[in-house]
Amino acid sequence: MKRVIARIDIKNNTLIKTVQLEGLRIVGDPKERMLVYYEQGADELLYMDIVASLYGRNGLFDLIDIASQNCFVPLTVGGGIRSLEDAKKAMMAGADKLAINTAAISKPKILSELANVLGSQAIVLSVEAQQMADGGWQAFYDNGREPSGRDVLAWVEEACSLGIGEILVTSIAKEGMNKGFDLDLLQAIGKVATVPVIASGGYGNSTHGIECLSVEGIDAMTVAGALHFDRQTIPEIKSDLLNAGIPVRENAP
Amino acid sequence: MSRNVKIINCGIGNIKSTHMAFEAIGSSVEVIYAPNQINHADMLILPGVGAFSRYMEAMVSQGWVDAIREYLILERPILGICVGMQSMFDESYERGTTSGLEILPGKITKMPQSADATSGLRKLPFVNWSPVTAEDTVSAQNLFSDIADGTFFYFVHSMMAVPQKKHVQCASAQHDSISVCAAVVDGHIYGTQFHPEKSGPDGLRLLKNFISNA
Repeated sequence: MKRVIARIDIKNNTLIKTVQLEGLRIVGDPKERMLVYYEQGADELLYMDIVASLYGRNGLFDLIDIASQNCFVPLTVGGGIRSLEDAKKAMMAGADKLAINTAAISKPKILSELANVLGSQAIVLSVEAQQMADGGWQAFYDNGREPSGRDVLAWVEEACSLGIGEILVTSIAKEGMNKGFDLDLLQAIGKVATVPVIASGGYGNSTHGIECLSVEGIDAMTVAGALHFDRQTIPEIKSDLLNAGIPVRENAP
Repeated sequence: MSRNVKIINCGIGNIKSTHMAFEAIGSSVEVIYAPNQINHADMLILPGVGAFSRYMEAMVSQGWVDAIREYLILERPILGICVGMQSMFDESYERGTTSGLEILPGKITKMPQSADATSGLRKLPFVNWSPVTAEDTVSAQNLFSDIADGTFFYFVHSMMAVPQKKHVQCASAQHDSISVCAAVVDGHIYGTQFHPEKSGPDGLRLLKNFISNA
């Protein structure tokens, strides 16, 4: 099965849509939208607090609390999780998985520390990838603002050996552009990752979804703008995927 | 009269989600933090995620093991979820051998892995929704009442249960090329490898079935 995940980017408790992880556009109330996506049959919900890692806040937790009372699918939370303490707080608030980027870039060992305490299944490495002049990709942090100097593929391999449960890879250049995923990047990651990979950044229409989920080693994709601006519903997306021969969970009638 | 559902919190597991799921189906539910609180339970929930050895370490050091065995003497129902279900078996081979609660005969073994995905899973942990089919027994049909064959449930695991008594396995899941034990029932002892609290309305339905039938 391939998973379709609704991605909800948050700033100051408001649902926003980014373009290349910048240039904010306010969409609305995340509490209303997450319920819509749950009821439409999203396989998971992903919450990213896009300023938390910049200002060290953890503003997502109230929202996660409400989500866990109403949305009975896996909830992944990212943004501003810097320590085991933060991680435990997020899990207590109702998160099932944590997406970790900035904290892992500065201290990779935090991945194995978190996995040891919370379990591998709870730890998602979040990679923000930017293509470089030499054709390779570099991992960025602080929501795509800072280059880490790390090669994405080497970083993915290293993180897999540290006991993570999944990888979320966001292509900075493709994010918010609605023109399709970075398929070269996904193909490269799909080859080296030993854990499930979630592709993010670029979904504009069903064709992009079909292209993305046809890549070997890509297990899931996130959809944001297409849902937020009511261009498509989850059942519409899944029906197109199924018609293209991509196995996805059909919603109960 | 509604029955008192108690969720064991040994510090490991997605307690909040499980708690909220039982609240959503309108049951009288409470999270308990100490073994002596088990006494007043009519139904016991054993949620669990993560590594088996770590989970059992917490269960043993906090004194839950004897309390659970005592609770079960009166044949009161218990539901183990994910590692909570795995913990009910004799032993697990995840990171060495670790003894479980030994209330169900059987072992926890690693799911087969193969690069070409024909005889095993390409990646572990397996993180996905999988179609689940219940056996044709009364207890299985009760647990999966109003849930169609092939309904999807959410799984996250690398290890799987191999019950010694075949009839204990009450449902199986198809993970790509391999079939795994998805749920168990043995009298008043219930377990699911999947996460009903994370499997949408169908998951809530299963929890409701457990409350009404167990």
